[in-house]
Amino acid sequence: MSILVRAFSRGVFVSALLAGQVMLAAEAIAATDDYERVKNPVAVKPFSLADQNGAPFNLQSLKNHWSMIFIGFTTCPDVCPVTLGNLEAVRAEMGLRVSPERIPRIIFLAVDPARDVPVLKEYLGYFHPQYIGISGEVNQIGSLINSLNAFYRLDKKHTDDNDYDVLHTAYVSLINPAGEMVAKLNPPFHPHKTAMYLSQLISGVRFDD
Amino acid sequence: MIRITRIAISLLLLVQSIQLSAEQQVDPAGSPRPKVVEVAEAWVGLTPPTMAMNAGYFSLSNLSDNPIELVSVTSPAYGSIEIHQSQLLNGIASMRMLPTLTIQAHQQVQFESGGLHLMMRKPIVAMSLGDSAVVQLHFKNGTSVHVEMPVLKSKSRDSHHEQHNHHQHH
Ligand SMILES: [Cu+2]
Repeated sequence: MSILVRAFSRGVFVSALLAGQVMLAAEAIAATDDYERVKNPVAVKPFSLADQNGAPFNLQSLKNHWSMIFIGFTTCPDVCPVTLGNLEAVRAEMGLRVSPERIPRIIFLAVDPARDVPVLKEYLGYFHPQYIGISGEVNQIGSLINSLNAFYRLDKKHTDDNDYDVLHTAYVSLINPAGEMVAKLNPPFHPHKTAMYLSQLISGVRFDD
Repeated sequence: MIRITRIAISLLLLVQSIQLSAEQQVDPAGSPRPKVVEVAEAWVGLTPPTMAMNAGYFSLSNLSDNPIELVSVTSPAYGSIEIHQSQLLNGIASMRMLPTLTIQAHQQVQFESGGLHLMMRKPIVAMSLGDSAVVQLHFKNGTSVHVEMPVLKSKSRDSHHEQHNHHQHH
């Protein structure tokens, strides 16, 4: 019960923040629909990365589970901790609605391997040890990013810039147990609304194999 | 006996911090002037030690009849502090650095997750729960404001005990 209340209040908090942010950034585009079904789900192409423990993580690792892939980087103190917290609240609330094996795993795709790989295990352990963090070779990251129809860029101002920002697609990709991307979840990842949307979508899908 | 001494010391510290707060806004000549800026709900987000950076938040109110401009933020606890804004443009998340921030007369600006934040890099020592970062806000008119920012795991989780000013938890 307390989890529910927390999920609600945090969702309201984050929605209010987004409204403020949109007003502040005059050039910001008005928010689109929060959730988009991918009309013709596309299979994720093979890729080869590693999780935060160094174990291989590839296309096969996506099979037989629902997953939410969040693109981010470990030197992100403002938005990433809030997003990871919201996704965890989504999982907690889904626990009341669908069976545990249908609750999507949270997969943090760290796109800045030079800075991310050395600290990924500690970073994720700090927020929630259940999160899966994946990273690796730039071309392999690029392959998965392409499958997700996403984008990222290391915004280095000069060659030895160490304080650079990382621009990245903000949506979370929902992957089904066949390894296909079936939906995009857009910010602010309101925990209650997102849990309702995902529970409905996932309950309506059968995978009997 | 030990407990009484502790209470006495806490009271003493509290009195000192109130005095500090009353004296904190001085003009370049050092003479007192009416309070121009009010800082409330200041906090710093807890991050893993390896991250070597924190995001800082507060609300800034301009109590005066003129616009004020925040030109820099310094702290003995950090190598560098910038004013940042997280933004979402065409579905792409990024942060941008603001060289300065103007607050119009009698307006309040909110620093909060997903929007304005202090980007606090290279902490001299890793900040943990229970620590506070002491920062100075420097304004173009010469005013500078001393702010204590406690480290919290996240503001939404701590919103039950609202902080109305930065001295309440000390
Ligand atoms: Cu920033």
